[in-house]
Amino acid sequence: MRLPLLAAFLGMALASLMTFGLTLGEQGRVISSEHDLGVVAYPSGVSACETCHLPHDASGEPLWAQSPHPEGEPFSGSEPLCYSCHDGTVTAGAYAFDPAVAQHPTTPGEAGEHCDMCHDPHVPDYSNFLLFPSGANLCRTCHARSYDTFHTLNVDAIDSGNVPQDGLWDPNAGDISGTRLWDAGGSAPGDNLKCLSCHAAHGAISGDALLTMPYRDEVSTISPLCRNCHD
Amino acid sequence: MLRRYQALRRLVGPAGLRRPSLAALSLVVALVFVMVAAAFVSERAQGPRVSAPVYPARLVQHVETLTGARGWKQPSAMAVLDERWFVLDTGNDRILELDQAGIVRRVLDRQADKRLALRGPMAIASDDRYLYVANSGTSQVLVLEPGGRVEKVLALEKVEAEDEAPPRPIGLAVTGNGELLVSDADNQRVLRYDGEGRLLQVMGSGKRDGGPGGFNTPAGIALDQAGDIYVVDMLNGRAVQLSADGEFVRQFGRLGDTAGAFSRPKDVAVDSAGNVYVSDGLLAAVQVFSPTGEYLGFIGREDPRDPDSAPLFQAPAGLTISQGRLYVVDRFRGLFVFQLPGQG
Ligand code: HEC
Ligand code: HEC
Ligand code: HEC
Ligand code: HEC
Ligand code: HEC
Ligand code: HEC
Repeated sequence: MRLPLLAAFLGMALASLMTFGLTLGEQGRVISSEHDLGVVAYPSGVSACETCHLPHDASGEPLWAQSPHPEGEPFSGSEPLCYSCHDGTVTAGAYAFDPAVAQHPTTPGEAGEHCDMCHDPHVPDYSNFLLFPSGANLCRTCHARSYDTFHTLNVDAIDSGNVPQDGLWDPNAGDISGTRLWDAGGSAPGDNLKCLSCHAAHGAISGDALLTMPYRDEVSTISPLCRNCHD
Repeated sequence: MLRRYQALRRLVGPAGLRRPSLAALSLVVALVFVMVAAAFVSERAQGPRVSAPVYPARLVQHVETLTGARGWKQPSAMAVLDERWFVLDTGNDRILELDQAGIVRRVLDRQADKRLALRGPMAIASDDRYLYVANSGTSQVLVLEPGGRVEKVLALEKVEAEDEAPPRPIGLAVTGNGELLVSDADNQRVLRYDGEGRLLQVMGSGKRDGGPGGFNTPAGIALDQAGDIYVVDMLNGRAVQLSADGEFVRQFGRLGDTAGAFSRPKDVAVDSAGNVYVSDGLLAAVQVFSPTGEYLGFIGREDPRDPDSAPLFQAPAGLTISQGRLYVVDRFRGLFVFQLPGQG
């Protein structure tokens, strides 16, 4: 009968260790970020961590033998947690989770290959709790390839000139291969364009290239994506 | 490069790759892991882990979210009026009228009435004449006839001049005398309006708060037959009962992940016997309490008798009770209808 006690003790030890770990680690920065949603003014208060790391009563009765969101299934890992607030209640809008639109591929259940590939909910260093700046090179953080085989638009061009010699700049042309929008340093002309100008990690129109608008159009040779800005 | 990136990831590990400063913590994490395992084993040794009581509600119908033109996208709530079901198709910014077989009979959107400009509608309620919709994206409550004609558009203004935003209504109930109770997720208040949209009463401190008078994201609202008000207080992990004039009576549940506690409560409903039902989007269950707060069990197992059974729900949200039936709207799995015990 000392087992529940032991479990309770271990639970407390875990909680205190986690808090301790944080003062050393980067999680401490949750405080005063957009994810600092606790209320500690009351004895029954809720800390900023507990809104996500739910307090676990070791003597309580679990509802489920396993998690109700089994690992490896599409809606699992941290996703149900993120959705529990990002569903139009705590935050407005819910497009990141819209199953009807294309999302960046992930592997739920694999550390570093799910939402945590791009986000750390503890670290507000960059916008959107991203792990890297969402400037011109967001997608290139991981998708950098040789410029002649990769992106149709050669965004990874080593040529520092913004204006290409090959005359393929016409955004209204059906074939834009060879177009270069980035120089070797990763800056766009005028630095106005970002990967996210044409791509989206969430809510893209199709999974092929995660574009925000169709690149090719059945009815015209003019690309709706390009025409969106160049008309 | 992608492949190299993945290979690198495998070599260094995700934490090492992203947050080298956390490497020192890995020892702590490993220790914690062992402790969790120990706690788990010690609990296992006592016999069956899953012992939470199941509430004897009987599933009588499941209407799955359809796809296509009449498909539903992240529906959040429903209301019953004139024997018809009105499902808030939140992701498509419209209302679907269903018959009792679950067939979509009509789509209520801007084509029904230009003023039916829904943006992120999160709650819907009904009295015996009208539907009331909390249109969270425009800080409005829309009052409409079941045919879709908009009767009134009530614009919710900032309560205090220094509020950062006007109310963002995500919960709604209509009282017997035609007043509206609205939860404001952005300003941590529950607001009472008259039928013309004039503010009558403010509950809550206006900042994230706890205790008897505070809210940390107020969400679903319901009334019992005596007129008492029940409000889900999402991030405080509880449902709060207030008297008809807004005084704290008691709370149901606390933040947690076991029976009787809430991980992410969403909506609340009260049956004619005064029992209180609370949906939990993260625990994938609806938990039930007696009028005095005693835990009665939960709804949500595919096979209520089998403790290893899979959950029926994925992200349960809106709750409605009408004529002895409990309607549960799941953001991904559609509408579930349960016959409640002892209610005809
Ligand atoms: C917005 C949600 C959220 C908040 C708030 C939050 N965490 Fe986390 N935390 C997570 C998620 C998600 C994980 C990853 C868990 C997993 O993969 O199983 C995590 C993991 C951790 C880990 C494990 C180490 C790691 O990086 O994988 C620690 C330690 C931790 N959190 C501590 C804290 C502390 C302390 C606080 C409060 C200051 C806090 N967290 C607040 C969501 C949150
Ligand atoms: C306890 C509630 C809660 C949970 C759980 C939560 N978030 Fe958040 N998140 C918020 C709030 C509140 C904001 C502030 C933005 C707002 O209010 O719209 C926010 C902001 C963000 C933003 C910035 C977007 C913006 O609109 O500013 C990102 C990205 C984000 N969260 C990702 C995540 C991820 C990934 C998870 C899961 C690991 C997660 N969140 C879990 C409450 C939550
Ligand atoms: C490939 C990188 C990537 C992955 C993987 C990813 N995100 Fe995002 N996420 C982004 C970017 C970039 C944004 C900024 C939104 C924008 O500008 O389009 C964002 C924005 C968000 C937001 C804020 C916008 C909103 O809808 O409220 C949330 C919440 C969010 N992501 C959650 C998640 C969750 C949950 C997962 C895992 C299922 C995930 N993300 C996986 C890159 C990613
Ligand atoms: C953190 C690293 C990372 C970031 C940032 C990232 N990706 Fe990915 N991306 C990957 C990985 C890894 C895969 C393979 C995933 C899989 O197959 O499960 C992938 C796959 C893809 C795919 C599928 C096609 C293919 O080549 O396999 C597309 C399209 C894609 N990413 C586009 C984008 C876009 C657009 C962005 C910017 C919004 C982006 N990625 C940002 C890592 C990343
Ligand atoms: C001006 C619009 C535009 C911008 C800006 C842009 N892309 Fe693209 N990207 C496209 C189009 C169009 C395609 C699809 C081409 C096709 O279908 O042949 C594409 C395809 C991709 C793909 C998928 C390629 C594959 O192997 O299937 C990746 C990855 C990608 N882009 C990454 C990036 C990165 C990284 C950036 C920023 C440095 C970026 N894109 C900026 C338009 C753009
Ligand atoms: C999100 C808006 C946007 C989209 C979509 C877009 N562009 Fe652009 N494009 C820009 C901006 C901004 C510049 C830089 C203009 C400047 O700084 O002078 C630019 C520059 C260019 C240039 C160089 C023009 C010059 O004279 O320097 C070309 C060529 C071009 N884009 C082609 C395309 C093509 C082809 C597509 C479709 C694949 C496309 N663009 C899609 C916004 C866009």
